[in-house]
Formats: sequence, C-alpha cells, structure tokens
Amino acid sequence: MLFEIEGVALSPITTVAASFTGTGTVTSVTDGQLTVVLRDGGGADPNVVINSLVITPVAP
Amino acid sequence: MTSTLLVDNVPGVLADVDVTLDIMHDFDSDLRVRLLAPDATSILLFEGTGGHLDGFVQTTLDDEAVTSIIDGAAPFTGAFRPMGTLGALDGKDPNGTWTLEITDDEPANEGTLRGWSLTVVTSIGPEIRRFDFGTPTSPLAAGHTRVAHNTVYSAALGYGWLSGTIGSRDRTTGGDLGRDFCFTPSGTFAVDLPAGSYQIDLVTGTARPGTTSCCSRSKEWH
Repeated sequence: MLFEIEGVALSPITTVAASFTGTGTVTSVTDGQLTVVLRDGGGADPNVVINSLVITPVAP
Repeated sequence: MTSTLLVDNVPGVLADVDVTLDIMHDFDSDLRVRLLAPDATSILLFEGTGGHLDGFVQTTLDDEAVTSIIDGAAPFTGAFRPMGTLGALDGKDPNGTWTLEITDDEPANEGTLRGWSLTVVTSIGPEIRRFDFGTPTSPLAAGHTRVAHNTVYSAALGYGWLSGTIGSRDRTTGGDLGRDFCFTPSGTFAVDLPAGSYQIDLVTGTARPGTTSCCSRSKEWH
C-alpha cells in the first residue's frame, strides 16, 4: 500500500495479519490544505487501511 | 554504563525523537539499551536481540521505521522501530540531559559505545491534530477527531475525504485506535491547515485478520 503526503510518496508498506505499522514524514503545507492520498500498492488486495493520523506543527 | 548528551535552547515541545547509535560488542543479545529523557522517562530501545552476532553500526531507532529491531540482524545498519515507544516523549521539553543506558547481562563479553546522537523534532504550535479512523459508531480514542467512511470534506468541517470509495470496519477487539479503520483502493483525505511545516504520523493495520491476500508489494487484511 502507498501513502502520499502533499504529493510525495512514502516508502511502500507491507503489513501482516493482526499487526500495525507506523509511518510518517515532515512536510510543508503551502496552500492551506494537507492532502493524504491512499493508493493501491499493487497487491492482490487493493485496499489501503488507515487507523490514525496525527499532525504536529514543527519548527521549519 | 551510561553516556549523556545535553540538549539546550531548543524551542517548543517534542514531536518526534530518533536515536542513532554505534556499539561494538561480541554478543549483541547480551545488551539492554535504554534512553532516559531529561524528565527521567525511560524508553527501552532494545534488549536480547541480535543473537551471537556482533555490533550495532549506525543503527537508528525510529518509531516510524518499517522494520522492528526484533526482526533486524547485525550490524543493524539503518532504521528500526525500538521495542519501546519513543512517541511517549511527545509533548515533553527536549532540553536537558539525555542518557543512554547500556546494560550487559554477560560480563564475559566486552563492548564499546563508539557514539550516539539524538534527532529531535519539536512542535512550535499549540494545536496537534489527531484523527481516529473508523466507523460512524465505533469507539473514539481520547483526544481524537472521528473520521468515518462518510466523513466527506467540507470547508465548514475543515477535514474529510475529498475523493475515493471509502469503507470502514470495526473489528471490536484491541484499543480504540486500532480496532477500527477506514479503507480504500484509492482515496484522498484532506485537512485544512495554516501554511507551515508539520510532522505527519499515521498508522495502518488491523487488530485481527479478516480475509487474507498475498502479494509482492502490499498485503492487507480487511
């Protein structure tokens, strides 16, 4: 599965049953809106799962 | 043994902490390594991992790493998730003395800490946004905003799904964050935010398997 934050793809994630994986990045928002794209990474099951999202302002 | 680092004059509160270390040792699994924050919060980075192999070379402990340190192998070069959760330090003051504590269970094998460093990201804003994805009625994690499959973006709401065919499930087991989720083969979620820099952390997975599938690049159960 793939996540894109502000148009930048994070490393593809492969999960196993009954487990959780965290991923993240630091990004800049310039247009007043953060976009998170969930996209099929090519597996047999096309669905991408999201449990939680935390957005923390940081020093540039 | 212990080693300390002083962090000084860093504004804001912690939003992310990573530890990079370099340890030479004859028998990795003898070691237990902890990070102690300035407020004495103790985070287990790893213990009993690596078997009889030698050393940790430029090993970064990072909550966002794909691979757990448990699944790594010497010399552990690269990023690995620690056994403890460095995210427990989020919101704390980064300034003060940080301590790396290394315990060797078997004194017959000697080792050397060749160096270590901290990477800290701090938050300068008061508002951290937390979203819990799930169904319209599944339990909501404390301090989080609910997002369900039907949470469509609007300017008035300021967040929501911009596009995609979105589903949601509640597996009814596990914590409030993990038991429920949204899923889509292609979708976009948006949050209105002031211009600036942000640390983005997301979690994917399920508390128990549903249907199974297998693939080379992506494997998911829903």
